[in-house]
This record gives sequence, C-alpha cells and structure tokens, in this order.
Amino acid sequence: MKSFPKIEKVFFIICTSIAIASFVATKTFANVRCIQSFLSETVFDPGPVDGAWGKKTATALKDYASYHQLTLKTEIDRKNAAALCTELKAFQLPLKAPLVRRFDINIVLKDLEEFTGRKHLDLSNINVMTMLNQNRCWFWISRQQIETKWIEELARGEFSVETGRIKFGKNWWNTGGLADSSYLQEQAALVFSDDFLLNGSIPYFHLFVSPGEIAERPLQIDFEKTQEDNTWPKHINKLIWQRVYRFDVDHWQTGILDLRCRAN
Amino acid sequence: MLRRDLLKAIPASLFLTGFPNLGITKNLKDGRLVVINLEGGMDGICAVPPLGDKSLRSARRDLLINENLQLNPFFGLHPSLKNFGTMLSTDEATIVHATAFPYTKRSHFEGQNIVETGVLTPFSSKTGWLGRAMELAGVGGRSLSLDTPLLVRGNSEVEAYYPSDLRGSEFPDSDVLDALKSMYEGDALETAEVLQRQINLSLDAPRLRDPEGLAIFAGKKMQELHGPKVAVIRVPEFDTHANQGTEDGLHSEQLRVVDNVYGALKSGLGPMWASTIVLTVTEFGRTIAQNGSAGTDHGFGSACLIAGGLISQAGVVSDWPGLKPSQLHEGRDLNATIDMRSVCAACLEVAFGLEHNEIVEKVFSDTKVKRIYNEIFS
Repeated sequence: MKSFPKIEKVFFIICTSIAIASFVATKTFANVRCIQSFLSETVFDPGPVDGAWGKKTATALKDYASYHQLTLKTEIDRKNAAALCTELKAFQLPLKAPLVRRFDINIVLKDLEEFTGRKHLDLSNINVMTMLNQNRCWFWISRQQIETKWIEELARGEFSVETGRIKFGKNWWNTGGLADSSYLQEQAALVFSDDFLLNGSIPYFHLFVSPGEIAERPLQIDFEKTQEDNTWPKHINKLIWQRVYRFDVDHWQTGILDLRCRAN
Repeated sequence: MLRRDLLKAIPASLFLTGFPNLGITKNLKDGRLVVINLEGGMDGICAVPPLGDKSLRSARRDLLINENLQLNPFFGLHPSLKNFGTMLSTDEATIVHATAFPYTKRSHFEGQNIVETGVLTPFSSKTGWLGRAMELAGVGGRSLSLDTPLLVRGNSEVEAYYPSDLRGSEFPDSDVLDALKSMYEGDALETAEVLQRQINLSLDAPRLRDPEGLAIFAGKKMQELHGPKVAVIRVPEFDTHANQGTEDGLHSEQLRVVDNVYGALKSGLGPMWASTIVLTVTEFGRTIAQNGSAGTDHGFGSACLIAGGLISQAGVVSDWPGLKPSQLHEGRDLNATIDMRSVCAACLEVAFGLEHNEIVEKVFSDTKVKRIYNEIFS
C-alpha cells in the first residue's frame, strides 16, 4: 500500500509524457503537411501529402527555394517544420497569380568548356617563356596539299610577343569570304613555353572562297606543346630568328605557321 | 554517305527581305530581325530540359540526355546547342520557355499557317505578321527568294528576285542522282557513279544549300548599308514521331543545324550583330511522354531561342507550368503560359522601335496580347 503513491506518480509522468509527445507529434505532422500541401501546388513534387517528413519533401522544398531564388531563414529540417510553414505561407500569394519572370543564368566556366569542347588557354601547366619579349615580328600562314606538295599562302601579318604570349596585329587573308584580321586579333590564344614549344589555338580559314560563293567559318586549330619543324629550310640572317610549326588540318592539307622576329 | 552529310543536303531555304525603300523608310531603329522557322514542331523539353522538374525523368526514360549544360538549378541546355550556350554565357542570348502560338489542334498545316499569319484562325489571312510589321516600320521592299513566304507578305506588293550569280548549283543533287541511277543501266550508270564521286569530293567545297551556308550568306547581305533588314530561314524535319534519339539522335542533329545557323549568322553579320535579334518559331511543341516508337507526338508548349546583340541579359523567361499530369495541357502536353505573339511583339519592338500598342493592334489585331518586353530585353 505504501508504494501506491509512487505508482500513481509514475503513471502520471508516463501519461503526461505521452500526451506531450502526441501533442508535439500532431503539431509537427500538421506543419509537415502544411509544407507538403503548399509544395504540391507547385511544380516541385513533395510526394504524398501525408504529414510524414522524408527526402522528397526536403528536396522539393530546397528546389522550390532555389528556383524562386528565395533565401529561407530557417534550416530545411523536420524539427523546423513550423517555422518553414510560416515562411512558405508568406510566399503563397504571388504564386497564385501568373508569374512571367526571368530566371538568371549562372554557367560555370568549367562546365562551359566541357560543353563546347573549347578550352580557354590554361597557363597553369605551362612553363611560359616569360623572358621572351619581341615587338617586331611577322607571320605567314600557309597550307600544303598532301598529295601535290604545293604550298599556298593563306595569310600574313604582324605580331608581337609579350612575356611569351603572341599578340596578332594587322593581318591579311587571301582566302576571301569571311576572313578578316579580327579573327586572329580576337580569338587567337598562343603562348611559347620551354624551348619554343607552341601552346594554344588559332582560327584558320582553310579554303579559298570566290566572290558569290558562300563563305566558310574558320576551323579552330589547337597547338599542344607543338615542336618547331626542323626540316624547314632556313635562309635568315643573324638578326632575325625564325620558327616554323606544322599542324594537321584534314586529310588533304597540312597547315604551316611561320614566325619570324627581329632579335632584340 | 554519313548522316550529317545527308542532313546538309536537306532542303533548307532562305528569304531575305525588308530592303529599305529609300526615301520612304521611316526614321525608326535600324535593327535587323531574323526568324528561324523550325518546321515540324520543335521539342522544347529536349532543347531546354527542365531538369529540376521531377516529373521529367519518369516521362522520358529513353529520351533523357545526360550531357546538358546546367544553366541554373532548374533548366539545362541540350548538348547540340554549343554556340547558343556560349552566347548565353556572354549575355547575347535568352530563352522563353513554355510558349506557343494560340493553337492547340496539333495539325502541321494549320499550325504553320498560324505561325506565319499570327492570327487566331488558320487560313483566314493572306498576309504574315512579319510582313505587316515591316509595313508598319516602313521596311517593305524586295524579297530575295524564288517565292515570297507567307510570313513576310504584307498588304502591298513585294517584288521577288533571285540573284543568278549565287554559285553552288554546279554540284549535282544527290536525290536527282539516286533517281537517275534507278532508271538507267550500263554506261549511264557509270556516268552516275562519276557524278557520285564528284559529290563526295564537293563535301569540302563551299556550301550553298544547307541552312548554315545560307545563314552566313544572309548575315553578310544584312551587314551591308542598304542590305535587307529581315531574313527568314527554314529548318525542316523536326517532326520526330519515331526514334527521336538522345545525344546522337535525329532531333539532336536538327538542333545542331539550328545551332550552326546561330553561329553562322553571328559570323556573317559581323559588327551588325550588335543591332540584330534572331528568334526561332515553331508550330507546336511535343508530348511530354515518349510514345511506343521512342519518339514524341504533336504537343502544345515549346521553347523559343532568342539571340543577338540587342539582348542585354541572358536568362530563361518563363511562368513554368509544371510537368505533373494535372498540370499538362489535356493531360499530355506542356502548357503554354506565354503567348508566342508577345515574344514576337517584343522582338519587333526591340528591332524596329515600334510601339507595343501599335504592334498588337495593327500586326496581331488582338489588343489582349501582353507586353513582356521588360522580362526579355531589360
């Protein structure tokens, strides 16, 4: 009989705990249901509107906020369901009205390079010849037909070298069509690394186009540690140095880039 | 013959018009407008996939493309659209999604007519929305084509001519050659084989008939001081009911053609690119769910790709309707929440400097067409 009050006390504690727990659970259940019901009206699927917090609800909520560029003050978590529900209710009104808006675009450079297959000149793995500076240089771009060995000049012009990087100046293309000096000036990215290895890329017009014909866009020629062509005959005096590089174009022609600079 | 070479031979066409009528042209903006007509119904869900919409994956199991460019957390870009993606990254392009002309009956003939006339009832107008807008802007004139497309026909006469000095016709047409081969034997067949070799050799030669070549030509002509201000380029074969494919499928090949047209126009226009707007139109989108032949059928909403120097900020303009069955048009198509006429009106406004009210009243004869200029261009 003495233990009765104790049992009563324990029973009371258990009952109160169950009551509190069910009250909290019901409250959370209602709040999660509120979030799910809100999201189900949008394009972000929270799964069934059953009051049970799951991965689908959390992901839908995260995507919704991200799509509308909203910063939620509350962390996306089951225990914060009440606060999240209140925050969402504040956004509910404009959703009902038609909403034509512009969603910003954030393209990551690395993704774009992978997507287009065209890389920006990455100097991190290149030992650039930073000591190389030349300001009086000339170049020739030619093509050699593989079968006939004929060499035809496509372009010529001026360039300078600033800390190993080639900068094209005035230039002239004989190919007609779209070819003009801006392509080399704006799109070429060439740099000398150790021992005059050539790295980077240039636009290259590989066909002669007569008036009235449809012009061709240039090919993009990549150089990756390209060595100079030692078979090329050199008849240059001591004041001028020359470097000649060959590059693959297609099955019937190879390209030749001839660089000459007056020694400083 | 490779598929891409075959595609080069698909008959595309170009219409250049809006040569200024000297002395008559109003003192309006000197912009250029190019419309790329994607015939057959371009699949906007494939070109600009809403990757953040969870219903996409279940609807398109065999047609999902993995190598999309992520534009933002919700939208991606098809891997064929490399030039267009670069333009998006430099704020020279924008996308309008879930858009269509107000036509829901899924017939190519009626849909194409609505795309060109811009009115609500098919075959009820003899003039095109672009032709009427050109009249309003005072840039009517000659059409550089064999026939004048309905899209650019206005109420006044448009003189048509075709320059005879365009080269490229010396190369034999492969379709004609195939027909000849099936008719003749012996010596004649040998001649046909010689011609076939000539076709193979001419693949490296300057091109004339494919959309990219035409786009370069259009760009160069439009760059001239008194050159045309309007061009229409047709890219057919978007009607992919079967084997739509993924990265290498038929639809992807066609999107690559469109992308090349964008790249070629930019190259051809040179400095004039800064005053140009290029937009795609199509008669409808395609169904959300794939059909039994791994293709998609005629739908409703699609995407519109816009590029040009007149764009100041890239983005995806949309009121996204969702892909859940309850959110689809008739339970099967992407809903169009933006009227394509609003997009056309915004492009006419930015290229020719016309007032929105004037455009909706005199070009589309429907004052309910909303103005979304600010969402696209500012």
